[in-house]
Amino acid sequence: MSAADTLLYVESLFVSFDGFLALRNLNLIVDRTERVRLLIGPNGAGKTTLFDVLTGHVTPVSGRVLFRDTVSLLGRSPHAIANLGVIRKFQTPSVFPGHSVFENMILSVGRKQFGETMAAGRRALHADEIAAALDHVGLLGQSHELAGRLSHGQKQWLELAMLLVQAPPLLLLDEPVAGMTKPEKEKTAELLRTIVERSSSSIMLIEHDMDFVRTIAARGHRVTVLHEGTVLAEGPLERVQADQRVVKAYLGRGQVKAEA
Amino acid sequence: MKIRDSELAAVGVFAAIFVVGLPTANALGLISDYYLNLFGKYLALAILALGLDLIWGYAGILSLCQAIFFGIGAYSIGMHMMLEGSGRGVYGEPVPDFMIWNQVYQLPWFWKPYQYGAVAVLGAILVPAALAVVIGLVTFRRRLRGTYFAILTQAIAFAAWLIINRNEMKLGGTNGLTDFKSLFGFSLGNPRTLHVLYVLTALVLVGAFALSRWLVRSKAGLVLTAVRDNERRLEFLGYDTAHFKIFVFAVSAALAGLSGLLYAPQVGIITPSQIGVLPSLEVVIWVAFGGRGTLIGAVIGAIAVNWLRSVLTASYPSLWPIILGGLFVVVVLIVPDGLVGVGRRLLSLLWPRRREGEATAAAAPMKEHVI
Repeated sequence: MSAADTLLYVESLFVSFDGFLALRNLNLIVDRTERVRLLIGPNGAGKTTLFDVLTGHVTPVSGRVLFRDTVSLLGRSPHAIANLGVIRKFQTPSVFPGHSVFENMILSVGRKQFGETMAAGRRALHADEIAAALDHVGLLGQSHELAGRLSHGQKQWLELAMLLVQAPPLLLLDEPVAGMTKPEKEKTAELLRTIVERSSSSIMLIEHDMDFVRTIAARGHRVTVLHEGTVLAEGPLERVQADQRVVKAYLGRGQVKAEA
Repeated sequence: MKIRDSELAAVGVFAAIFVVGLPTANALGLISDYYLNLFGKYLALAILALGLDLIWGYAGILSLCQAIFFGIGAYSIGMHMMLEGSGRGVYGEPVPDFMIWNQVYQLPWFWKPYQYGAVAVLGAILVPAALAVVIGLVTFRRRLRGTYFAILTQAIAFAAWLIINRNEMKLGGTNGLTDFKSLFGFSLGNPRTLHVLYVLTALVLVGAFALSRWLVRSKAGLVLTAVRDNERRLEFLGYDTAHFKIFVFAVSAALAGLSGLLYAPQVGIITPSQIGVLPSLEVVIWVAFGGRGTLIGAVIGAIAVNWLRSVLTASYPSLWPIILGGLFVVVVLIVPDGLVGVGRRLLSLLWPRRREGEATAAAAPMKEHVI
């Protein structure tokens, strides 16, 4: 296999936690032209572990992970990977609760090196980008509010704005609608659509909520199914759902909800 | 916004009292030279508290070796003052008297640079900062954090105390350095010299406060409080948090050194008892008592606790450690945000509308710049 014009190239990735293989021979390619890739799979399939490897949080036993064909993501620290433009959103909203919405954005925007941070001093740089990103997620009116006082959904959107303002080439979203109400989920699906339209970021998305997955996949995005640490199937949602191995994997775990 | 205004007002009142009020009262004969000198000591210690507040109150990193940095500052200027006075001692030798007692007649090499006042002053600030960078490099870069960092710095404080107590160190052993005659040619026996030292200390405190205030309200200040609240999240945003932690540790050490530099000439003695584990812990109590994470709280805490100590040790010396410990327990259990927190709550009780927009001082920077 050769890597060319890929955004993300993952080859024979193995991750072991005390002998338990969380990822076994995982291969995955995301093209540069691809805007959204959905990652689904039963609990324990290795989806979050894959993100942990991509962001430098977990070191694999073996394998290759290349970003934009040539840049290896393995062996880099989390902050170095973030500076390359691979940015992650965690399952639980992780904003800085003691800082205002605007301050959360200030922390997210611009370059993060020590010298540049010191040189920024007390100037609020990139105010226009911040305003645009907050407007995008509908939080412009709350920019003075402490982030800790926002509702669960608003925190998730603030975190999305914090990621968007960095204009990352690759955005990793881990269950962005977990714990959201139905209207909040709908708004988030709409947000993702506008992100794809307005920005140049590609998105990798882990999701358990099959309604949400259907909404996104209906826009023609590919779905990858992980099971027991490896790729079980890949393609449009209808084809993946018709795959007997996928049905068995979900049924075997008692998750009938993911019906074929 | 209102809370911030009242905080600035409090700072202004404080500065007016200590920079202008006390020296004027002294000139008018309302307070004695002794009291002015006592407050000069407290103001020097307030700079030490500011430094700890930056690293502990804002960045959430508990350093238990601040007294070492303080000691380096105090010993630097102490060594210089000893050398200024050498030849005028009991034995008339060109080395400080205590060296004669230890049969040392040649000035040790590491004393020689301290003949120069500039070396002593710069060394008092830069050597602690450099030491903090070294400690920071071996800890923060290796992701040693939280309690482990606190324990390590306490061990360092204990080791430093053991070392400096030894006569072989040629730093006066357990007796420390004392019997200072003059500073930069000005006699320390002259009340005018101490008067000038007081005003200088008050002005340096104002400067240190302004610098700290700028820092915590800058973008770097936002990063520091974010380190305290969720360091891992900050790393995933792309920040190498070790750089920021080493930086704030160095700043806190430099302030501690500056504090020692101003303290030693006013008190006239510096001994190992001010360097070890306990004096490092005391700074934590001052800051907690005044209000961790607010700069004015650190200053108030340092002055209040030290004043209380002066008052109480005069009448009940044996009770002081118990009172100090009790104070810490009360603060931790009942008023975790210290005197400043109590003051804020009183303000918001008196004027309930002030509660709107209330935010901790640590979380409020940059508000003025908002879109």
